[in-house]
Amino acid sequence: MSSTKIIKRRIKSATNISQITKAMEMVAASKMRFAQESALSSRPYTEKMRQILTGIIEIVKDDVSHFLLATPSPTLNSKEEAQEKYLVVVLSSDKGLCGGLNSNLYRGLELWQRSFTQKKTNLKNIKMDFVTVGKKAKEHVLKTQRFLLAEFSNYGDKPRYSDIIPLYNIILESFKTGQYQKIFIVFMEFVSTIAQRLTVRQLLPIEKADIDTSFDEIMKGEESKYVKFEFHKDYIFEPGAETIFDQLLPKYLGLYLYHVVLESTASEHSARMVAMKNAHDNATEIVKDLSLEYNQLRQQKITSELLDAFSARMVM
Amino acid sequence: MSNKLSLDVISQEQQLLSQEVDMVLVPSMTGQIGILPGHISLFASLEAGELILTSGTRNEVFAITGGFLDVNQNQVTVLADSAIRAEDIDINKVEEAKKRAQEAMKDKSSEKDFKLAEADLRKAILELKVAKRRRHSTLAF
Repeated sequence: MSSTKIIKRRIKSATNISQITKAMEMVAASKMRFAQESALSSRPYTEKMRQILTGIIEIVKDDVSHFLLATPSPTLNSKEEAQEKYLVVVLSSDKGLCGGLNSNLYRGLELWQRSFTQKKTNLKNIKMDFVTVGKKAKEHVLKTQRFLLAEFSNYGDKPRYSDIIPLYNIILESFKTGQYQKIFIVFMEFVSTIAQRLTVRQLLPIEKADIDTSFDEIMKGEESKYVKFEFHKDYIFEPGAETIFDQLLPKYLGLYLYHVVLESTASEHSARMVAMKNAHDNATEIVKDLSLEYNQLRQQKITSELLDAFSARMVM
Repeated sequence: MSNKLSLDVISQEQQLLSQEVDMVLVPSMTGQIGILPGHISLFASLEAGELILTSGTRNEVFAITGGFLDVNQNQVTVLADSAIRAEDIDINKVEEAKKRAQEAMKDKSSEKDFKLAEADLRKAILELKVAKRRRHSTLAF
């Protein structure tokens, strides 16, 4: 008697879970559609701009100087040793329940940081500070006892360009003042509904060399096509190169940040939808198994009761 | 050297166009520039205005609100802040947008809103201009 009761209770809770996850899947799916659309539609512009920019920067780097193109010299610490400081911008989701998205991000971040510091063993003094977008990234940075410079969250499902202006300002300002030698950005790039890829990119200074530090082999394959894109040596700038860079570089930075936020939002909703779909499928499976077990038990009980009745009758 | 230009027009929202053309006219900061095949590498900053491309005997007009132009070995890329094909401009809608922007500009309390409305108004006026001129020129053809 008691075991059927327990099974019945478990069936009920599994059914509840399957209903809730189904609802969450639907919600995520509708948000996902919008997020994917906006991420994909801003992609051609940003990518093309990146391609052109990195190309022409190579050509004019000797003639034109702009603070977004140059690495500020490292500050000296008390022992007169050069200390390099990097700023890392990490983008995660605000909420959980999105499968392995955020844990992949953390793992990738740790891996990247380790391999990066190993590569630059000649520079013993590397310090990394963090700016996070999304509550989950903030929690991770604080838990691992790193220095958190600033934290942004609640960008919502439909981030607007004006939302990222504070983020943009803090990045620009901290680079302008020479606090950081390099600024990196770490986020989950949207590939498809079922795949998101960790991407680490150097945000500032804008330069062609090691602009991409992705672990993924596919990424390297994609990146090589930019290298093939050759630029002619003599370039005319209309009006002057300085004026153009003054306009173009900050704009590029802003747009790129916005694009990355969109990508990360698209990844979040896609990952959540898939995670919820899996959870729903699993819950349905459990309900099915439990129902079978419950029915078997019930039948067994009836059979034994019948047997009891017959044997009692035979005795009489 | 090929005697065609391959032109990409990309706005912040989408890739609008990718095709072979004979000539492109763009509104640069220092005046209108015409690009023909074999043009030297050029990077220019664009103003709001019309982008005209010629392909064979066909002309196409876009209204763009600022952006950048890159010319590199017959590959022309226009990165526009926003761009719309002249035929796709819905005059009624634009008139409405213009009115809305004018209404919004009366409220001078917030500088940011005012600037946004001003930008909207400028865009609406430009689109109207392009659309109207387009009408006349189709009659002339």
